[in-house]
Amino acid sequence: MMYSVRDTIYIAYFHILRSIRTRTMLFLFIVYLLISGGTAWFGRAIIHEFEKQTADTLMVPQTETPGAMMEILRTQDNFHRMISSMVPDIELVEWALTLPVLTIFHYWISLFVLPFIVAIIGAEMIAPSIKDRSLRYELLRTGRLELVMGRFLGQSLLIGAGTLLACIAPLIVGNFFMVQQPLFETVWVLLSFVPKLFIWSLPFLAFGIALSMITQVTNLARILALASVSGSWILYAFLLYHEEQGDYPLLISVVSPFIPQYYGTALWSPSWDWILSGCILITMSIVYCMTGYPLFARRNL
Amino acid sequence: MRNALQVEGLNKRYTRAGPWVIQNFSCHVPYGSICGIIGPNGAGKTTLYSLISGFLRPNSGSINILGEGSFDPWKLRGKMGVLPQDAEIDGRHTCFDFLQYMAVLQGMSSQQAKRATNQALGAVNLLERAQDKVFNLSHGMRRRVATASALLGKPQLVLLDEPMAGLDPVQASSLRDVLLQFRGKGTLLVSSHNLSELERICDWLIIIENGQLVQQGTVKDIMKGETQVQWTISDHSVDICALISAKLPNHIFSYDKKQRILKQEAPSHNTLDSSSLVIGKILSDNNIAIQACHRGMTLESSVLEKL
Repeated sequence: MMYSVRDTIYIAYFHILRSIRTRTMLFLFIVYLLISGGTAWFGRAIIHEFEKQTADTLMVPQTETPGAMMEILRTQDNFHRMISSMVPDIELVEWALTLPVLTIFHYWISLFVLPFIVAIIGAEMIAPSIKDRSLRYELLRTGRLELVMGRFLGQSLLIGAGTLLACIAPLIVGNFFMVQQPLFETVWVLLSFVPKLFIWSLPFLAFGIALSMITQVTNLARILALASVSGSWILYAFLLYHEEQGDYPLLISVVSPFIPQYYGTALWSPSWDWILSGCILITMSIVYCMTGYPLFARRNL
Repeated sequence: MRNALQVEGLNKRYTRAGPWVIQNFSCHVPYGSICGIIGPNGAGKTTLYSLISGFLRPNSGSINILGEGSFDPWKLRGKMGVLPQDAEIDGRHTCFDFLQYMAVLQGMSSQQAKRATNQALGAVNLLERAQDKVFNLSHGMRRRVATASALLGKPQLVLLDEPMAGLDPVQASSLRDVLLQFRGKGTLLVSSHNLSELERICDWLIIIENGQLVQQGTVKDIMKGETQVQWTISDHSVDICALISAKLPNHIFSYDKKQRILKQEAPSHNTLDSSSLVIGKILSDNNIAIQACHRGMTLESSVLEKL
């Protein structure tokens, strides 16, 4: 057991080292920054548009740099409606309206986009090593489970670092390309989202790793990973729709707890209520990861 | 004699309806020996290595490694080193980092791993390239890094699949010295198509063809070094086999007229010395000169005779 944990940690360490050497970590960080930067810029553009409309309505000069009319926007119906459509629960709208606006965009887009990115990353964890048989060197010295868990742990840490780093983009956009954005409050809210986004990513990373274990064709693993994530969103939308309609209550109650999105809504909670859902998501990620393991454990390498 | 490796009734095929790649294969390798595995392409050598190393699962049969049963990375941690034939090393690491990683996974502490890595790199003459990334090395050098990974620490059993492949003569000779140094410290299994190389380093041989054991035994047994003599003699017109057989009826003689080689197969090695005097006299009486005399067959001719 002690050796097992030691090997898992060392494999994770070496995975991070490999990611630094191969610049995959740099690539990951750039992707995260581009997405969060793009999201922040998109949010800024929307706010600017709202402000222009509001200025026209109030017959005052339009703002050149967005952000100055946030207090007025928060009282307006169309802005209210937009925020309502972003949060999963109507009771959260008032709370969401008090947050720095870019943090809402950042969180909302991240919740949707990150699963796709991390699933693709997960798909590259094992399959290429099966193909070139490089994992033979490791598997002579340690167990297959330790190899999988080590790489999962290593990649999770990289994703955690990427999620943290991604906070920089909305800060830069809010500070330098908008006005009257509260810096410290933005930092605090973004940091409070980091653990939530990190945990949210794990089941989807596990999806990718599980698929990476069952094929040695990396592209196939990537396609399957994307299909799985898309499928989970479609399934979630289907279940949500029929739940609202009151259809298939048994099916919904049986299937829903097995898809990560079911717990995603709890991650919006401003209190510590999300911790339980977070724990379930972590457990779920380990279970998902292990779905590919029985095949990998018996696989001829 | 204790065996480092005992294989019993091993069977392997890759697909349910496919041909048997290894079929009812049994062999053993004595502890402390340097064992050569010989066979033509597709004989099943690499599959056998992969089965022993746990990369492949047998359909049936048993493998006992160092008395610990079949391959288990935890039980054999640090006791077994393998050079797989066609596994790539992740080229983006330096030689040192890759080997140190392997050493730590073998259960060594960081300091022990550093020492073992330096020793292994020194053994394959790559110390000066320790900080080079693996993809910057030539094929032969990568092969040496992989060989170093198999020799890390103090393994009791090392499996090397074609270790000389891609090495220049100087490096091959250097690696041969490294392998010879291993004698007495552990057991070494080497597969190679270079039979003269195996003849020089091995003391135990396993011959495999079509996934089946053809023969196993000491090099002397397989090369018939105890009972066979080849005489290269001058041209002559007499029936030399008949003449000598008359004097030595228990021995079997054959004569290759083209190569002028007289082959003698003695019933036991005890009779070889006395028979050589008789043969020498008959040849001398018939004015036939002895140009060369070689005890046993070459490994190549011995293997060719069996395959």
